[in-house]
Amino acid sequence: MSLFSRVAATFRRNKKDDDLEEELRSHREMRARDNVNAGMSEQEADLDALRRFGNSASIQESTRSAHIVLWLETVLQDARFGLRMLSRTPGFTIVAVLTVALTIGATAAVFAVINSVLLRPLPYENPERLIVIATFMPRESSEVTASPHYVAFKTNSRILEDAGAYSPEDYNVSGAGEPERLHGVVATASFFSTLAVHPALGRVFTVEEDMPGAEKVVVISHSFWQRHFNSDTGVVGKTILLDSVPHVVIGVLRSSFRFPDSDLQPELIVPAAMPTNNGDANQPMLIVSVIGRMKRGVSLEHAQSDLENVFQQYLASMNSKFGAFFEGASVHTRLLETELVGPVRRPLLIIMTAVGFVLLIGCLNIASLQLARAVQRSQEVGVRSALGAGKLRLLRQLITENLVLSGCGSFGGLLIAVVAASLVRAAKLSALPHVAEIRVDFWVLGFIALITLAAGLFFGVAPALWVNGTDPAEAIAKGNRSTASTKHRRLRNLLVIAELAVALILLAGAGLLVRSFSRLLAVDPGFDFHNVLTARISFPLSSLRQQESRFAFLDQVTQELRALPSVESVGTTNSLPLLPYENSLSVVIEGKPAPPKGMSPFVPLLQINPDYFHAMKIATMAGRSFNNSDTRTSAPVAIVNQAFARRFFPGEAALGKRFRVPAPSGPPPALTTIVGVVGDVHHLGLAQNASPEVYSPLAQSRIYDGVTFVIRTSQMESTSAALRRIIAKLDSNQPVSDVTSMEQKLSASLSARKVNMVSLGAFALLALVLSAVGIFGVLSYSVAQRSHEIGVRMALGSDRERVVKLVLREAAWLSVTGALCGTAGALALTRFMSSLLYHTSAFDPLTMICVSALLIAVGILAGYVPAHRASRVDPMIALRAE
Amino acid sequence: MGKNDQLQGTLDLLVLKTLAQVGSMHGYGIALHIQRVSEDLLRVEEGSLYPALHRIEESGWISSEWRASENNRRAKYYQLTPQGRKQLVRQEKSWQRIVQGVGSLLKFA
Repeated sequence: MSLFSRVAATFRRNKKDDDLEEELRSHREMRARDNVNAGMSEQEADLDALRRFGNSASIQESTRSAHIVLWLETVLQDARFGLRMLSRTPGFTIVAVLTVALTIGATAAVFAVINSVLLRPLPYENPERLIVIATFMPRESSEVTASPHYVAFKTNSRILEDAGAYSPEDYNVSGAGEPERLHGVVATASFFSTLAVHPALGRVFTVEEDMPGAEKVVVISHSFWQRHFNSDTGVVGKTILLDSVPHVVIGVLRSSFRFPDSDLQPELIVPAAMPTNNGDANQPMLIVSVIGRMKRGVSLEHAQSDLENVFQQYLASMNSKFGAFFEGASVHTRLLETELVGPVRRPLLIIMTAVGFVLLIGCLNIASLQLARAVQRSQEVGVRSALGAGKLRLLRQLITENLVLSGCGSFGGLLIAVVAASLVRAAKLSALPHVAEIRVDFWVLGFIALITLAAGLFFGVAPALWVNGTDPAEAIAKGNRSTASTKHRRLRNLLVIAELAVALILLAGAGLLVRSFSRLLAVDPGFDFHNVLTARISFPLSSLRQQESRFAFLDQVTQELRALPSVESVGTTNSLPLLPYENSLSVVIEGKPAPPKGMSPFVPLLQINPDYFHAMKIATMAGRSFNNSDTRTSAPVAIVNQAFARRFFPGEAALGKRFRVPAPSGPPPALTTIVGVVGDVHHLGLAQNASPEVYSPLAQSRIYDGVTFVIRTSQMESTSAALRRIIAKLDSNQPVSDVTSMEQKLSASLSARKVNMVSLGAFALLALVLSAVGIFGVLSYSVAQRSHEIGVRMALGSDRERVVKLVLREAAWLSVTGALCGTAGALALTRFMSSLLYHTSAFDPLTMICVSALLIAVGILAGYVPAHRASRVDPMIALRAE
Repeated sequence: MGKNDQLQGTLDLLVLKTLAQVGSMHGYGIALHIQRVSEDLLRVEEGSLYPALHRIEESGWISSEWRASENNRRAKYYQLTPQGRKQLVRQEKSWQRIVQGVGSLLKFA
C-alpha cells in the first residue's frame, strides 16, 4: 500500500469504521440466523452471536491500527535510524547542526524584528483607517500644518469620522523631588477619541477641558506614573507643577499605549486649548500634527482629494494676508502606518533578504555534504533496496533523516533567536518603532517551524534525487569507494558555485555599506566634536523669569564655568548641530530684486554667544566673530556661513552686505550687516549638505525656549558635575537636560547606518565562512575520491607540488566562477540599496573588485588543506587499495 | 504486532486457501468454511478474523466488494487478487517446509 493511500486512510478513518461496523453486523446477523435454524430461541441466538464476537470495539481498534500504527511506527523507525546514522558521523553532524542553528537563528531573529516592526498592526482600533494629514508649503519645502487648517479639515471634510491634533511641548516638572525636563504634547480632546484610547486610571480630557481658560488638567504616561508617583492608584486628582503652573492629574495611560509618533514618547498630555483663529495671520496659531480617522470604506486617494478640496476652499475664504502666507500650499495625506514604518522598511527588507541568502547558503552547504554522504552510503542503500525497500521507502528514510537534522539545528536556532531578540530590545534602537515589543512569539515559532521543514526538505532532496538514480546491483558491486560519476560531481560543483555567488552578493552589499560609511566618517562636520560637553537649560514660556533675569542667569553660569581650570571656552546656542533647527527667518537682501510678497526665502537662524565659534572650533573664513560690543543697542549684525554666501552672493563677497527681515506689519525693520563668514557645518547630519544659515548674537535677540551650552573641556565628567552644581546653587528649580558629549551626539546620529552596516556585514561574514566550508568539503571529498588517480599520477612521476596545484586549480576555478556569477547577481540587486548609500554608487567598481578578490582568496585558501592532503597520498597505498 | 506471528501466518494461509477454493466469500462464510473443512478442528475466532482480512487486503492479496448475500442481505465479499494467488503458492510451500521440518524433528525425537 502506498504512503499516500495510507495517509489518506488515516484521514478517511470514519468511513472505514462505518464500513467495518457494517461488515461485523452482517456477520453477526448471519450467525444469529444459523443459530435460530439450529434450534435456539431468537434471543439466545443473538446473545450467542454477540458473545462469540467479544468486544467489537476492540476488533475495530486492532483493524484500524493496521492503518495508523504501521505508518507511525515506520516514521519513528526512520527517525531512530536517522539519529543512528547521524551519530555515526559526528563531524558532519556537528557542522550541519551548527550551520542550521546559526542560519535559522539569524533568520528567525530578523523575522522577529520584522514581525513586530513591519507586520504587527499599529496598537489602535482599525489602524488601516488612520491617516496623517499635513499641509505642505513649497516655499519652505516642508510640512507646516497650522491649527486653523486642522479645524477646517475636522469641520468641513466629509470623509473623516474623527480627527485630532497634537504638538510637542516640553515641560519643567517641579514640586516634589528633583526638577525634571520632560517631553509632553498638547493635544485636542478628539486626539483620544480618534485613536480610541482608554486610560488605565481616571479618564482623558473632555471637549470642555480643551477650551482656552478651562481648568488646567493633564493625562500622564504609565512610566511617568510609576516613576514619579510610585504607581500610586490614588493619583487621580493630585496636582503637579508644569512650568510652575498647577495641573490636576485626571488620568493615567495604559502601559500598552504607544504614541503615534515614536520620536515623541510624551510623558504628559495636556489639552491644546487651541485659540479660535479665523484666519488672521497675526493671531496666535499652533503648528500641529494631525491624525484623522477615515470613515469606513473610504480609500486613501478619495481622502486625499476630499481634504485637498476642503483646504483650497478654506484658503480662498481667508483674507489675503493669510492666503498669501500659505500660497501654493497643498495637502499631503498618508496612512499612519506608512508614516511610522516608512523609513525603516527598506533597510529591514534588505537585511531580511541578506539573512535569507545566508540561510540559502547554509542549506546548499548541507545539501552538498549530504550528497557526498549519499554517495558514500550508496552501498547501504543498494543493499536495502535489494532487500525489498521500495524507492519511496528509501526516499522517505532520507527525508526523515534530514528533518531530524534540521529539527535538532532549529532548537539551537531558537535559542540564538531568543538571545538576539533580547539584545535588539536592550540596544533600544530609536530608529525602530515598537522596538520594546520585539520578542520570539508564536508567529516567530511558527516561522521557525516552517523554515525548519523547508530547509530539511531542501537539503534532503539532493541526496534523495541521487538515491533515485542508483542501481542497486552497481552500487553493491562497486562498494563505498565508487561512483564519483561526473554527473554527481557536476551537481556538487554547481551547489558550491551557487553558494559562492550568493556569498558574493552579500559581501558586495556589506562592502557598499562599509564604503559609504567610511565616506560619511570622512566628511568634515565643520566643527570639532571632540571634548565638547553639551547641556540644555529650558525656560518655560510662562516662567516668571524675565528676559533680563534670563540673561543674568546665563552670564552667571557662563562665568562660573569659565572659571573652572579644565574648561577652555563656554559657548551657547539656541540650536545644536545634529538636531533639527529651532528657529528660522526670512531674509530680503538689500539691493537685490525683492521676491514676490510672502515668497522671501526662509533661512535657519542660530542665536549664539561670542565664544560659540571658539568652543565648537568653527572656522572663520572672513570678517570677525561676535564680541561683547554687539549689544541690544548697537547696530544689528550677523555672521553667515559659506553656503549662505554661495546662494545669495554668488561670485561676490558677502562681507559687509546687508539684509532685512520682513515683518508682517509695523515699520520696516532695520538693516542687518554681515560682519563675518564662517565655515559650513553639517547641521542636520553628516549625510546632509550644509544649508544656508544666519548666526546672530544672542545679546541682540531674546531668549526664547531655552539655551544649549557647548563647553570645550578636557574633563567631561567633572565639568558636567560642576555644571549641575552651579545651576542648582543659582536656582534649585531650574532643570538641566540632555547632558551629553558632542561625540555621543554624532555617533547617535550615525547609529541607524551603523546597525545596517554591522548586521549586513555580520551576515556577509557568516556567508563567507559557510561557503569556505562548502568549498573545503567539496575539495576534500574530491581528493578522497581521486586518491587512486592521484596515486597513479605520482607513480608516473608527478611531483607533490604539481598535485597541490591540481587541487588548488580546482578551488580557483570554483571561486572565480562563483565570483563572476555573484557579481552579475550583485549588479542586479545592489541598486535596491541606493537609498542607503552616501555618495557611493550601487555599482561601485572598487567595492566589486575588492569583494571578488576577497571571495576568491578565501576560496583558494579553503582549498589549501585538501590540496595538502592530496600531496600526502602515498602512491603505493593508493594503488594497492585496488 | 500480534502475540503469535506463526499463528497469524497460518490464519493468512487458511484465508487465502479458502478463497482459492470457494472463489468469493464473506467473512462469516470463510470462518464457517474453515471450520467445516477442518471437521471442527480449526475454529476461527471472529476477533482475529477481521483484522487479518483487512491486513491481507492492505497487502494487496485480496480485494473486497459489497454484494447481496445468498439471503439478500448486504455482505462484504472477498476474493483473491493475482498477487494473492502467488502469495498463496509461496505460503503453501513455506508451510510445507515447516511441516516437513517439524515432522522430521518429531520423528527424530
